[in-house]
Amino acid sequence: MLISYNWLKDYINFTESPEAVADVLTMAGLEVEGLKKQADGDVILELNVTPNRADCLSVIGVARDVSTVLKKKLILPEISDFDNATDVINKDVKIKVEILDTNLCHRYCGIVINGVKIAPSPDWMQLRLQTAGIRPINNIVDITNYVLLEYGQPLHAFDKSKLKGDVIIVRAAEKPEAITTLDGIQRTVPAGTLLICDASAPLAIAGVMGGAGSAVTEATTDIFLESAWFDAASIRVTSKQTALRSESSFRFERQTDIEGVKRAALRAASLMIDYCVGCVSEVIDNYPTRYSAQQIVLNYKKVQSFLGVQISEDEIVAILSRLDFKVERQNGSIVVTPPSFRRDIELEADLIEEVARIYGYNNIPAVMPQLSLSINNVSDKHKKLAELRQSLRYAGFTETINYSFTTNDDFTLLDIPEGDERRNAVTVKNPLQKDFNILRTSLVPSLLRNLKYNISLGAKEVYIYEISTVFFDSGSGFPHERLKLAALSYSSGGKRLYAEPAAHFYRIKGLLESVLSGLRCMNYELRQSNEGFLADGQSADIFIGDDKAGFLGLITAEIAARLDMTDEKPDIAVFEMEKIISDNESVPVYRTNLMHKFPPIERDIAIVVDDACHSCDIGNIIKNESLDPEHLIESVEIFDHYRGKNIPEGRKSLAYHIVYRSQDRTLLDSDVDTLHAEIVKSVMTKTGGTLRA
Amino acid sequence: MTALAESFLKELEAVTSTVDLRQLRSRYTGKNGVLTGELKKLPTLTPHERAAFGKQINDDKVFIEESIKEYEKQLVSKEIKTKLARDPVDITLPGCYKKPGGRHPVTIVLAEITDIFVSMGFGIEEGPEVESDYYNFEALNIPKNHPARDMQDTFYIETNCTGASAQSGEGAFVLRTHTSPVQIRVMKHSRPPLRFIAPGKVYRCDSDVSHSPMFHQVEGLVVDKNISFANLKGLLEGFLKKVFGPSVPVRLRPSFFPFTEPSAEVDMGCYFCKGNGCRVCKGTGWIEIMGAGMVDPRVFRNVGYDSDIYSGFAFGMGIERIASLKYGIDDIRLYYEGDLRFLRQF
Ligand SMILES: [Zn+2]
Repeated sequence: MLISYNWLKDYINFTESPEAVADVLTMAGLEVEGLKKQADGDVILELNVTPNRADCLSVIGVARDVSTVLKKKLILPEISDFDNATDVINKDVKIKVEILDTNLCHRYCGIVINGVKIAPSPDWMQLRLQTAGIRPINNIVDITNYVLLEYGQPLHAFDKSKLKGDVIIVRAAEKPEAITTLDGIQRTVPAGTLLICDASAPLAIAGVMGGAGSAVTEATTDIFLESAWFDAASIRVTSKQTALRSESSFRFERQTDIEGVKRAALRAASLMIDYCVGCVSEVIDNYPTRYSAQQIVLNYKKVQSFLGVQISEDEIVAILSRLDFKVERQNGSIVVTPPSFRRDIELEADLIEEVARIYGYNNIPAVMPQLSLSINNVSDKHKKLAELRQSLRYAGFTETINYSFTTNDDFTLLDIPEGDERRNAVTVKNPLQKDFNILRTSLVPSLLRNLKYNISLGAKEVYIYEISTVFFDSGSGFPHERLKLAALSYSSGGKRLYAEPAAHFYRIKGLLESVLSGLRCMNYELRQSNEGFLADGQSADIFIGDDKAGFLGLITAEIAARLDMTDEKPDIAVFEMEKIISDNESVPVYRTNLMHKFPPIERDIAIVVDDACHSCDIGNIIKNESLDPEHLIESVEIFDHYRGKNIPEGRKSLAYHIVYRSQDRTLLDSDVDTLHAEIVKSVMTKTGGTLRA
Repeated sequence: MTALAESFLKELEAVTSTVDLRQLRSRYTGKNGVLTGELKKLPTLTPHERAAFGKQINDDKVFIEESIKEYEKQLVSKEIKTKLARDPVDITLPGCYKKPGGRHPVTIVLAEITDIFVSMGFGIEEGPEVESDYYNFEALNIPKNHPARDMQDTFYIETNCTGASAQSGEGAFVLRTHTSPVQIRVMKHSRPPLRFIAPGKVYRCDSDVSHSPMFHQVEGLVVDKNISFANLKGLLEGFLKKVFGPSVPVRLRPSFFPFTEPSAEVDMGCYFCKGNGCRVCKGTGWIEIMGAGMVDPRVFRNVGYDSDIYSGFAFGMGIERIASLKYGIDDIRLYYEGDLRFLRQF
């Protein structure tokens, strides 16, 4: 809302500077977002009027708040009610106003003004309209807009000669109806839309826009001036449905002052007589749904305890009275009747806010609350996520956060098959842009885009991860939201100072293992993956129990090529998993293992097996309990994996380090010799392997 | 000193390596060493001589062993020095370690805020990012077809639902526009006293240098008996001074949120111009940093709390906004581009 500083002076005698007035308004809840100096010395205040303050969508409304804070009298324009007006002519012509829908139209005033002369409005009025952002048209239309700005009551002037049957009918459309609006566009409004009609057709979409057919033109001589109260929600729905927003609809949506409907019409009529030469012939006020003022009891003590400040009874009464609230004192409390233009005031709390904002938030002390101690819900999840981020960070990975929005291109990029759960995405009805129309079900495509972006910026190594919620359509009701962790590792293979310790697959697997061990998650298992976007033989699925919790591996060359990156054969490893944090909040029971003090005996075993043989299977054979009933094996660790010279093609050498230890005695070589020999035999039999020479 | 000891010392002087020293030791003290050879003479001696000879050999043995031990120490340290001299390092080459990755500034600020509130005994709560119209709007006193809905540009979720809400372009599910629905969710399943924060992602249909369609908020709620507006001021002032330093001025000014009454915008003195007015604060000297207010009794009614017994306050803040002020970031899109040159600075 743009408010002229000079215009405010019509209603209050004050000397405060525009900056001081801006500060007064801002600290009373009408934030001034900017001041604009005008050529004529006026200053425009750019007000941010919150949706609850419909009364401040007018100069008088804003002036009332200024006068309340400055403790100055509000001077309102004098208005004739034309009851005994000598200039009223032609009293016989009666226009009949019929309100058929009294739910959507509570009051309708009409004033007939004859003999007007259409001309430009006076310069001062044009200037005030222009500074408020409204284009001057002619004296009649300008006066309706001027009063709209002054009182916040939208008005509409019809060319009375275009009205058929001397009747105004206010009704809701029963079926879709056609009307050509002022802007010359033919529109069809849906059933339920409130319309202003004459005997034959709709004249206007009530509260939103007038019709072209009954518009005031150069040739107009007789005016039918409308001032009415329409249901706010109804006007809002119509405005949305027709995509028409006007100064009028904006105010109706926020509720106009039903008691001010006639006053605004009379004010406009007075101005029309002054500036358009006409005569008032008829004043109609059809008010079927009466406004009844609400009374609210306000307890002084409640004000004081709620705000935490000892504000006096007299001050409370004075503030509310200056805001035009009717106040009746009782014992310990007051009965307050808010004015009809403050429909936002319904409860005691609303009154307390009025008192507080005028009293000044700055005058209320800042006092830390006194609260009793309690055990609060700070779940393990937040601690674990913090630890997880820490461990990823020290593994060299940088956190990214990407938009939850994406497109179906994600699925094509990764060849996600039809029917895969990940295609079951949630759709956004009104996306900001076309490529933002669904919500992510996987974080990997986002990380691949991050990779591409960073390579384009010249990055040679990219280690990134994201922890975010993904969304799955549930068919009906709330979507399923799951927390996922994904990481991506890329290096261009350039020369580096110290040798890379392991192949890429083992590095991303190592990251996963360190993450999971950090989370004390040990009960997972890796199985061969059949994800289409991961390279065969360089990928695995992560299982927790029988549920697939994720995957890891190298992105296939084909998928990588689709990314169209400057690195044509990028070496990209990824993993993604969910269920990283268990929902189980129960306190775990820990049992600490005793550290045995007897000395160990250590033995190694090196065996040559088929390439297809899995190292962990051999580990399991070694740990087989049936061979070791005494549980002498304390640990088994693989320490060598070798393929190449001296090992036949298609085979590999694996070497394990076994630690034997007894809980109750010092082991002798002889205790271990037999067991170890049996283990070696068992490994050879079960794997078809041979001892490495 | 015996002749044996003297000849040992002479030999010891000639030794230059630990290997030679070990040989020398075994030649004197080993199974077939000189000392053992001397002991073999014992049977040829008289009992009287035996005692003296035995003692002498023992003294020699102790002397030899001590000397070797002492000399070994010297040799070892000398050998290490020689070895190091032969195999020098360039101490200015970088060490071999994994360079830590960057933390996301949003994560850093979220953690900082969380820590402050947890230190004051606040719990941490969560809610879904796709919310129902009821939790995101209705229960927070934002009815359908109310202009207050214009305050937040909303993303709607495609559903199969028809009827009035579908007609008006609104829907049964939305991407939550604020973290405030968590207030309702928590109050519905627990009783006062309450104090918690609810961090998380929120979504608005808006995008430019200072608006992102997705960003992060932290919501806070305190409900108890005798909670006042002065308490709200006290807590938020304390919080902001902890985040931005003890000298930062804080002011509350009246505003409107449908779910608080009275409502307030919380401003802090401009971080950049110290209140003199600059581009960041649009010349006002103040920066809007969060929204807050006393819980509206209509909200308490919606969750079944008696507003005659309980009062409370709620507040909400944008994390990117706080991070931008702290780190001097002027384009919100930087947070979501994944540019490692940006992220690795944190
Ligand atoms: Zn500034």
